[in-house]
Amino acid sequence: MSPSEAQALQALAIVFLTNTLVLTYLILRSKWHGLRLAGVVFLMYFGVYSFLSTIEALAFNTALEIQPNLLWFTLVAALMLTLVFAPLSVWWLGKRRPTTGPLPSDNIGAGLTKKEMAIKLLVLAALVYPALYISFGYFVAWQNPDVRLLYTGSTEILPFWTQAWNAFTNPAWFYPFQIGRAFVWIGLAWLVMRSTKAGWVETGFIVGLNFALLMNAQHLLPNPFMSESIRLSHFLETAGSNFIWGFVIVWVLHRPHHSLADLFNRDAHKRHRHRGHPVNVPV
Amino acid sequence: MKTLKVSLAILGLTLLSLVLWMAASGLLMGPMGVEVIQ
Repeated sequence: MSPSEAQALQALAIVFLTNTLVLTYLILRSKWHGLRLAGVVFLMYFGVYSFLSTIEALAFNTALEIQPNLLWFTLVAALMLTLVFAPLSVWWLGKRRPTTGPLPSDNIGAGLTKKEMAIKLLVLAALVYPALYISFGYFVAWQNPDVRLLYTGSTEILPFWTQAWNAFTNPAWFYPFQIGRAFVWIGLAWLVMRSTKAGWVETGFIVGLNFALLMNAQHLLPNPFMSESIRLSHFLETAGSNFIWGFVIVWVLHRPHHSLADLFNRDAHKRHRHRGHPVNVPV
Repeated sequence: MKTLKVSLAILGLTLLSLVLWMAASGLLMGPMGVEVIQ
């Protein structure tokens, strides 16, 4: 084995160890078990690690120039990996059978009306996700001249609003495409919210951690499409924005809110910290 | 005991992932026409 092959194997081992650690946290904090939990693990792992990152790479493939065969290969290989990983991880971590001990009877996110859910989903997907995406893209990745050179062929940097407008209007499909991706992210976070036995803050942490690292640990791998400097910029950009995005989804959807102020209401948070059951506070 | 079991599971799953990924590479890259780029 050549030194470069040994280095690649070492990086691959770190990527898989990271993925296993964050998924282990998700599995051990789940109140589900067996095939149902394996389904959540599979969707989360394949969805974030492969599907969402591959369609993002496709969107930028004019600059990256990755051969379509390679993209198909990574999708199929990730499908094989995650299909085997999901049931085995549930089994090996002792979640094949129901957990003994008391479990919360209610779910995070219970009690939201259809109207409130629709408004929240729309705001999250059409405003919050694009805002996080473009802010981290500009203020983290785009500050690196190597990144600008790769995607535009020039190191020139435009003002934030010009750059944001250009990114979301050229090509015209890019904004709707990112809204579509946002709905996939929200669906995955919702699955974790329904299956967890953790409180909403910890659930936000679990979702954020999985979103941040399952997608981005692979930036540790040397590849012929991005230099080390570009990979590091993308790692910081997407790990940061994905973590916040995961946490915000859980924060916004974990309980009904009667107003915008209610979203920041600490007392209400205390009342709902036990899975939506109000705590009796002596007056 | 539980910590040991979880640690072993994590180690096993990491190694399993590595083996599966390399097996998938060996099985699929040729037939799918993927060239190894250095």
